[in-house]
Amino acid sequence: VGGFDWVAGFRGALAESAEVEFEGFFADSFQRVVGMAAVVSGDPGLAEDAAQEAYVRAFKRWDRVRGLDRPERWVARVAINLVLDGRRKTRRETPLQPEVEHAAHDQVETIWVRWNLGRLTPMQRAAIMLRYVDGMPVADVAETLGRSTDTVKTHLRLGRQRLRRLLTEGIG
Amino acid sequence: VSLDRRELDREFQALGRLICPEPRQVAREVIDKARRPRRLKSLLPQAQHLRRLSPALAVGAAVMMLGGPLALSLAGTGQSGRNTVAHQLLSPLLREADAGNHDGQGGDQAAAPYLTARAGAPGAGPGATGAAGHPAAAPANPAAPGQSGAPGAPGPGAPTPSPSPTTASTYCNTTDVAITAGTDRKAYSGSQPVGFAMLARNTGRTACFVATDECHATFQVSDAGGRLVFGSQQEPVTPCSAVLITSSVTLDPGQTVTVSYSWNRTQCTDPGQLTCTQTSPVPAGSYSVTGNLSGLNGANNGVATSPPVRFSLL
Repeated sequence: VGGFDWVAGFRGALAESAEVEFEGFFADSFQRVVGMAAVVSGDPGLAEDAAQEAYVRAFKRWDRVRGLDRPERWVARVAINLVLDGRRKTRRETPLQPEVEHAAHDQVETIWVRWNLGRLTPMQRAAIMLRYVDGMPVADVAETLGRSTDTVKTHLRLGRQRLRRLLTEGIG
Repeated sequence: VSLDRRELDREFQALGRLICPEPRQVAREVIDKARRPRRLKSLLPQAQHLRRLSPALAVGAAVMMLGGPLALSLAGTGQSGRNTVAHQLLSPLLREADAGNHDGQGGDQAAAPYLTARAGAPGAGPGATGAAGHPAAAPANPAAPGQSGAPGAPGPGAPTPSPSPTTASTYCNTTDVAITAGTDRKAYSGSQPVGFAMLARNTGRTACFVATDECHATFQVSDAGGRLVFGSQQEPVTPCSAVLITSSVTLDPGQTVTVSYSWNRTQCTDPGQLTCTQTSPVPAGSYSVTGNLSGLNGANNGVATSPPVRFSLL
């Protein structure tokens, strides 16, 4: 059976090229995803855990995820879902340095104050981020957050009400 | 003031840079984490539950949970009664549960359909390992009786294992994995399926991973003339991925893992494809099978291969 030899022979090369590709994708998108997750959760440590877990899942499915129109959106959705779950591993392999965690926390609070996001619940922040920052349709936001479309619309409406003094007409 | 998408994006980026200034380094950690072995997380609750049952009930439940053929074959070995059987069957799972191996990784991975055994203790035969059998037919006896180097035979001077599960950080080197293949019979009549098994032993000095999914733990059958007639990696419906390792185990020094497979005696008639779409029965005759583990480190493209084992189709 002629196919076996070359399949075995090229496996190493294929694996290596996929890793290189994944590393590029990670380097290009990770900081934005972890930043968004931190703003949603208000917890930079949790956000980093969630973002890393999201990329682990992406790598496990890299054959499929790489073919998506916007793979970084898939990862952001997973990361945001994870921070909303709020599950934080008890054992972290590369915990944030305390000074970094404090600085990042201050930065999150600055962003919250600047954009008036601190008054929203995490779910409202997530809905607002996905809908208005990531440009996701309401139906996709609902699927991402595991909520009904009506529930998401409610979160968006309440979020908009709280943000209404800051929002322009263009994004409402 | 407006919620400017681009400006907020820049804020995310700046925050991300603060949290993770060197994403390329973290990328390597993420890849390594993704390749770590499954921890049998999905079986742990069941195993914990079984511990509370009486030994007799535990055997019955284990037979149902882990697959009839292998569990029954254990019962048939006469190894000092049901308690021993239940203990041997469940101990790898319970040991992991006790060790609290909940790293949160891999819980969503699909189990390889024919992964049949968790790593066993050094010197332990395949029957002494925990198992999740192939629904079709897991070979009861991975090695044909009388074969030299049969799986399960303790190697002389095998290293003493550490008593608790070890966390490995790398895949095994090809020079540190000894593979022995076997069949469940010497000869097969009619349309009897052929049961293959391979036992891989970590002969190195440190713990390491081996991939045990259907794309990396494979069997290859050759005819009497040495022509390759079948490779189990062509079997999965989804084409094999060289990149994605969906199932792997950590082997401490001296530990073993058994993988089995049931071959329906067909060969692929559309050679060159990653996935077999047309098959035909192979003719009667003499054949040999090798067990192969790929995705390892080291020479031979990271592939370790067992010596061939002969069998006949009548």
